[in-house]
Amino acid sequence: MPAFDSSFDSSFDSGPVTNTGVASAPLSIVVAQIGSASAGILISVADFYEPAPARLSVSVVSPLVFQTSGGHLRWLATVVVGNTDVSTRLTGAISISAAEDSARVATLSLIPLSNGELDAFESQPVTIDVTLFRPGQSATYRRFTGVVETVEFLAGERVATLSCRDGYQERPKACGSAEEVETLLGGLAVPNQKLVPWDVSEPDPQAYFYSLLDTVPGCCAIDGNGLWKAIPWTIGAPVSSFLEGDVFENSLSVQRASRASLPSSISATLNHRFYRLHAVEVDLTWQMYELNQLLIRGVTRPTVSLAIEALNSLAGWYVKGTPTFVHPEPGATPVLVNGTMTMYQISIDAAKTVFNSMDATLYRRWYQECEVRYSVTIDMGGELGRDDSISATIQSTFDAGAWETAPTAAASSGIYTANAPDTEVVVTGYEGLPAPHPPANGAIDHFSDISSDDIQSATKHMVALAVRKAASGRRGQRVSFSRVIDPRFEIGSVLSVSAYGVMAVGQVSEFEDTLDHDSGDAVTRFVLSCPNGDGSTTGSTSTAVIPPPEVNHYLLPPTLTSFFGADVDTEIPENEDDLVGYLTNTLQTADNYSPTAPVFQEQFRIVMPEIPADWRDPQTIDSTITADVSIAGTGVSITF
Amino acid sequence: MAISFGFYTDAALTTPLSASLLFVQDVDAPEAQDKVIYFGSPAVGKIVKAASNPGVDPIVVSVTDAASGSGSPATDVKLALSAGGLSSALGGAPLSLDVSVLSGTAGAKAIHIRVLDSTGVMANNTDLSLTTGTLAEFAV
Repeated sequence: MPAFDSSFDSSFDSGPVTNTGVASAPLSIVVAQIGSASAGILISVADFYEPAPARLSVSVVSPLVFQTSGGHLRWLATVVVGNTDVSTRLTGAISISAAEDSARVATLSLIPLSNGELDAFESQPVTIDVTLFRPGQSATYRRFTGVVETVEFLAGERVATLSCRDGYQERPKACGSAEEVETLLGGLAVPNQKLVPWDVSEPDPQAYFYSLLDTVPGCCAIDGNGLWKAIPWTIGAPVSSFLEGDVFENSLSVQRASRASLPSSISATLNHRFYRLHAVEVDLTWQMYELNQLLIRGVTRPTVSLAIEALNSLAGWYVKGTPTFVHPEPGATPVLVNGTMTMYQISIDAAKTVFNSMDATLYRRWYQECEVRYSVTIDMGGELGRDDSISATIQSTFDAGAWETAPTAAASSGIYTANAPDTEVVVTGYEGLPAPHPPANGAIDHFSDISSDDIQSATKHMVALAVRKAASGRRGQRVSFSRVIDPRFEIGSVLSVSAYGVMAVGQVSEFEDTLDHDSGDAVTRFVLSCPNGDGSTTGSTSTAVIPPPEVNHYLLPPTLTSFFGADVDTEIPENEDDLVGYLTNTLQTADNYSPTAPVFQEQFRIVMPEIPADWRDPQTIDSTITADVSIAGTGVSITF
Repeated sequence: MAISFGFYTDAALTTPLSASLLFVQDVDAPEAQDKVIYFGSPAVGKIVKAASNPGVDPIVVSVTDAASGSGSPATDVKLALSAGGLSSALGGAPLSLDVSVLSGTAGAKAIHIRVLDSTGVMANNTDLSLTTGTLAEFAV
């Protein structure tokens, strides 16, 4: 064969380079060139083998073998442990039990050939087939596939009892991702990473599996062939019906759902906590009093710095943009004082420091803790006054405190009276405040990292939890009966029974096969779940109504005027919070001076309105989940 | 290197298919029965290719009849990579997986099997199997 160097063309030839045997045959190794010869030779070594084949068995059966007409039925159990058929050494009874969401277990007894064989049983794969014979008819079914868990040897009888189990618990544990777990559940689960997160750093697939199983309107089981099944709780037309002659006498029983599993109703609630972000604007206006008061009362006029100081000292309030001050015209202004025209003089520099009027818009933003409770109630028809409930909470993550108190990048200008240097701040009115920005005099519900789709998904998860809980409770109503060994039906098969006054259609939720080599008995006991339902399928659809924030703020702005203290005309409003505007005092030498009248601390005083408690205090809002719920089943009727 | 690729009963590759996969058919009114098994390896860092021409020839799963002329014929078995593909699959036709299969659950190939009896004879036929031929397993 050609080699990497032609001088070695014949050196490696030793016949076909293949190994067609099984793994125990000698292996050959191929030296393959990878890369260019000039770069050197890399060697890739491979194992050659043929994997063990997947053996198929086709059991062509006659359904007549299951008829309960007169005659006799023979049966044969074929048990293979490891690669050894031990059927001829079986003794006592074989028992195979299966149930929803559980491992299938089997026990069997056999006579071991040696100590070595006895020691080798543990962890060996096991299959149990059942073949039934009637004259001219036969049927073979696989009833168990699993491994030997424990071996008990009864020394006096020289009999080993093998306890076997399928790999039900191992399957979820072996999952390496959330998607693999969800695949195990057959797409029936309602996953939600907000409520039931998959931890990437420390995965726990088993816990994740069982959390999601709580949302499945169905069950999981491994069938007789060892294949994993996700089985929906669907009760439609039965695949087989049994009458009185088909079941063992006195074996049929009806069990009603337990009181504990049948409350009056089950309610599911999703609580979503988030922050409602408010914003309010208040316009302030102040107008200078009559100019002649400066001369009559000797009062002072407010300065721009005084007003700025007052505006900036309002806790929680910010000036939108910059306030507007209208300065007086410098120079002389005629003023009428007591009928005499007098000139009021103000210099150019002084005029810049005082103002005749001021307009400013103040805004405030704050957060409010809100919680919306989405809820739905499923009627169970159980004991009145006893309700069951499940709830979960998701929370939007947001630093509301920082959002509320973040300083502005460009506060109201209190530094320059003229020729202020240009800044690069784009004046938006809310300079430097972090997003989001609620509308003026309104609010937004800030869900942050939780979207509307997340909420819908989470409510579906909650509804699914409630539906499974409700369906499980109702499926506690059961009909059980025994009949001749019947391996046709697995967990999830829909059967009907009409015997001894009992009529029911249900889904196999448990069964137990018993094959007794000593007595010859071959019995299957079926347990059918027969819930009182309202359809043939179990499931739900749901939609959450996300309430919008209906917020419309209007805060009454304070009326800023002027108050003169130490004056015969000094008036103090009844509500001290109305004492807002410019507070100054009449000069002692003025005619209006009153030594007994209240004297003000000279200031520009502003008292902003309070935020109403409804928009400040934590709020809980109830909203609805619109859900359609169905539970499969037609119940049980008993006729006396 | 240890041999690791084979047929498994589950997508998580926890349980090798060691026993035969049993399909039950009604002798008088057979109905197709479908099952799914998986081809892959739970090992880490392995890749398998067809030995005939690694990386070029696909890995092929064939229906092998150990007793041609008796038991169940190979044509009673259809193979597909999806449940939907079974409808158009030819009975007895081999199934191409890919030119290579990586180890791990992500690389596992689902093999959908449909059996429909054509013999009309009561029996428990064990002559059929799925085989891959010789494969070459490399470390990745």
